[in-house]
Amino acid sequence: MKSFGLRKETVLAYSFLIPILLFYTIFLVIPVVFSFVISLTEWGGFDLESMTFVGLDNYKKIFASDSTFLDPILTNTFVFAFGSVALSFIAAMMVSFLITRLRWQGLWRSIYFLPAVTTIVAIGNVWLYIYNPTNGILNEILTSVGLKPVNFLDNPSIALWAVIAVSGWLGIGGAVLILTAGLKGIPHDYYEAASLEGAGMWRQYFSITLPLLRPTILFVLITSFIGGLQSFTLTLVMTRTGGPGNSTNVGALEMYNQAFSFGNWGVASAMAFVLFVVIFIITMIQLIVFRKGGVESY
Amino acid sequence: MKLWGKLSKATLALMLTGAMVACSGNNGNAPASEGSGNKPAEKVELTMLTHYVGVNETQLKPLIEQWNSENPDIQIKPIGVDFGELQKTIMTKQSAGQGADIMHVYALWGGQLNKNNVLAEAPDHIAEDVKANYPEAAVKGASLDGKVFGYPTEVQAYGLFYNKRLLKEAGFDNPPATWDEMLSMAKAIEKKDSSGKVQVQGFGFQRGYAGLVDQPFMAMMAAAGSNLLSDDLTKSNLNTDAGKKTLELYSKVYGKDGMTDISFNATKGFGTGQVAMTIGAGWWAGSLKTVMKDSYTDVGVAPIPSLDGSSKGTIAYTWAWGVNSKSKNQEAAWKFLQWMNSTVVKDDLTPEGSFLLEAFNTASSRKSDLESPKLKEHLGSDPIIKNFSDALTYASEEQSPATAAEVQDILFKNIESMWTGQQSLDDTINNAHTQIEEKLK
Amino acid sequence: MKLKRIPWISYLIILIGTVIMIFPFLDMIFSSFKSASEYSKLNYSLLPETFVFDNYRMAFEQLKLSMLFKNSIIRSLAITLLVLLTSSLGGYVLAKLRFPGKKLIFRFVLSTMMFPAFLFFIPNYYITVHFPLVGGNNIFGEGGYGGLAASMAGLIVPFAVSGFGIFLMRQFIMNIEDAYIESARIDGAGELRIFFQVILPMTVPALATLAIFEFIGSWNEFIWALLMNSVNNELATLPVGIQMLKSHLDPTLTQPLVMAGLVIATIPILILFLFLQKYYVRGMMNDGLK
Repeated sequence: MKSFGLRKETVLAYSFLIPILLFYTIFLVIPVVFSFVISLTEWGGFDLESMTFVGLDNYKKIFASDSTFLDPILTNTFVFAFGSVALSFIAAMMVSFLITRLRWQGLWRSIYFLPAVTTIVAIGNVWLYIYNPTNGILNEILTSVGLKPVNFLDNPSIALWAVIAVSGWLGIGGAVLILTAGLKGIPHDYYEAASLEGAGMWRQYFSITLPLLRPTILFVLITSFIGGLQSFTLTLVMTRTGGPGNSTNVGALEMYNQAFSFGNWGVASAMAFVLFVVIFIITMIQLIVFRKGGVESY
Repeated sequence: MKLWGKLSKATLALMLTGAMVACSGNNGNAPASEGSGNKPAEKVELTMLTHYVGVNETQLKPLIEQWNSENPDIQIKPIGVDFGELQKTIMTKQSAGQGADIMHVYALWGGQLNKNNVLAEAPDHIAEDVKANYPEAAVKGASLDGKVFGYPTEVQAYGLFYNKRLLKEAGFDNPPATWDEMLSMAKAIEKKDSSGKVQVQGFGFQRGYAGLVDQPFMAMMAAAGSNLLSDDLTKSNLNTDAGKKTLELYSKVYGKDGMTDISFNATKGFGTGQVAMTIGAGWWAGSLKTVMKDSYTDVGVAPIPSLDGSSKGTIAYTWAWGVNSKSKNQEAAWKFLQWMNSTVVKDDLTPEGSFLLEAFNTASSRKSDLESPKLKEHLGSDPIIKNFSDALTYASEEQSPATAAEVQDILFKNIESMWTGQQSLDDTINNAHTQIEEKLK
Repeated sequence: MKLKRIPWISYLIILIGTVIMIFPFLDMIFSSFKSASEYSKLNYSLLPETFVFDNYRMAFEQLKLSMLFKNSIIRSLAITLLVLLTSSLGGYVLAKLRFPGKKLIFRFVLSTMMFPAFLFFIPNYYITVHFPLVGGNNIFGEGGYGGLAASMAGLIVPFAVSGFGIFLMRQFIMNIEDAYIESARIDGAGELRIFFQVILPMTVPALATLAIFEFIGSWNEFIWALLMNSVNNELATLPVGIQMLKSHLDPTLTQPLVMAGLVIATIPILILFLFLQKYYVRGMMNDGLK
């Protein structure tokens, strides 16, 4: 660029960036360091003087053999993330493929996206009513066809899946959006050429759509899996402490309750770090997979 | 490790201030105009944090309005927070310097509040007043380390709620006195339809949150002759005979060996006349009265059955008004609390006494209230409220170690795991016992 | 494509799916008109026996609706405006200016998106509440009555910058030709003027997408608002206010009330979304995913 020195441009750039860098310093860099410091102490969140340094004790507690954090809580976290992704992905694959062939595409997409723009407080409470063992619709349907009522949120082998179903339902819209974008990127003539050669709909789907959609599919799967590992608001609204027992408890929820219900900020921060490291490793794997899978911008 | 704290504090403050200075102008958010901290001296507004929301809030309001109009210099502003959020709210507010001047606290949190020095000690004249006028369980509940911190309010004992109509239909004239009797009666009353859906439940425990499961448990265990924890709060008594027997009883109600369905909501079901027996606290009678309307006459209350049918035991939990140790208007706060709890205002009752009677249909535990004609008449005509008032004479107080909330959570989760078939009775006894002792160390 | 060859079965599947997606909303709306006694019945029906408005009357009585709406609106608007400003500034700098450290900063902005939100609850809560020199705090962040959380700032400031937003705007501004900037410079325009009068007007489509995304996101955000509300009850937003209606001791008792509250809180935002979905959905599909 003419008449504009690099030095002047640098000054300009940094003065524009100051608010952003400052924000990240205060609300991202300092907190990460601070959080790690807290994880090495016993502290209830009051005066900083009341912090007691305990070394790795909090981490030892988390990894102790009788700790509930690894099993069931961390296991649940993975099941939750995996289950929600699987559900919303399969549904979204079907929906996004089908609506490209229908009228009123925008309308359908918006409908499937409605839960994603609704507050979790509403979603959680409405589904609590749907799951209600005495007067919810699901049990009404089950009993009216002669089946036994199911204790969706009281039966520990079902409760986690009941929450997962809601989370999956919630995620369909977002996945449809991304997948539709991917589908639109596939050049139209590929299909035309294929149908000239007499390939049917399913044949086209498996030999053109799926392979070309692979980068998008990877993107959806991995980012929503990582999102699932972090999520706990829905569980908080639906089962509060992750009950019955710990059967729906997930990592971030346990952290939240340890900190704000029991005042164990040290243990809670250690949990946050352990979960963060797990997520970080998966993110790294994601980066490698993306490079190989042909998604560039990450 | 004081040095550690100072060091990290200094570093954090330095970094934050550095950030602030650098961005002066970008972050110009004006401080709030109001806060509990800096008020002019003559007229003060005191915030009062309670768990009275909804209907209870409206019942409390006239009393506060009366005080506010009579005392223009000390205005009380109540803040209602649902019980489920109150402990978290007290702690976060306190750590943020937003703590309310007056707090209604649950004695179970005493240990944690004490550890963080949240509550002020009561002035001598108030401590004397409390010691002289309330039953022992209540005084203990309103004390930390043996020092009174405020006025006991809701002192609630647990008892057996039963539905007279359902008992009579099955041929029983009296509520059970022993656990065995209770179980066999429950079996006789229980009715299920062809799909297995419960129509009438013989006996059910209420569920939903830790306290609702744990308190009846502790009451049953007290009826079997033991407290949950040792007196010095360092050991769990779950591995004693009473503890094991109580958990065994619990395993016979829901779960693999249970006689009824855990998904049937006993709280709701009792209100619709579909549950014959359950354990509940005194305040529940008040809400049943509103829910059940005419059929409330079916409700009866009896002392909690025991193992042998003759011994008595239950627990009582205590709520109390306390004053924030960080409040700048402690004197005014105590003045209000004294009026609220020890002055006779209407019908020979204290404001607190008439609130308890109106809102929960429970008797105040204060002696002067109990001697008032209005309350005497109530106790004479209402066997339910009489029953709970009597129970206070033999009830033991709910124990509150510093980690009480975690202990309750452990017990709750273990019982729930047993009820939902995730662990056996023996595992439940062992796990709960060892996990609780771990927290008491 | 060959619409005629699409069997009715596609429509059927999509319609069944639509019912599953919409049913919970219908259930919410109809249930909000059921009377309390109907809730304690043991059988379910979608439609209320008689439509009663008691729940709404009670919700209006017990919720400080005007405060909740005010807080929600102020919060969402403020966050949206701040994010639009910081994102477009950051996006412009990272797309168009040359300076040492650019690549590093861009990488850093991208990496901020990888940090899970839960990692920040505890430290950011402490920092917000003990922010120096605001809310009565001294320079060490002590002695005040809530720091940033003493005012709406506590709900807004921690959300003022979005890594995603900066990324989105950078991608968009990259496609704007340098010639616009250069000719403005030759005309003697100042840098701020170039940014506000040349660049910003050209980014309106991306800004619209980001605005809707941020507005809806902060309207619905729950956990942080819940935490701020427990520090300062004047900060309750709609989702928090409604969740707080729910009784811990007896949730069945407050269920009808909660349903009415949820209708009040969600329907405006759903309508807003349906009106603006064109920008939102299209924007996300075209710009957000490159």
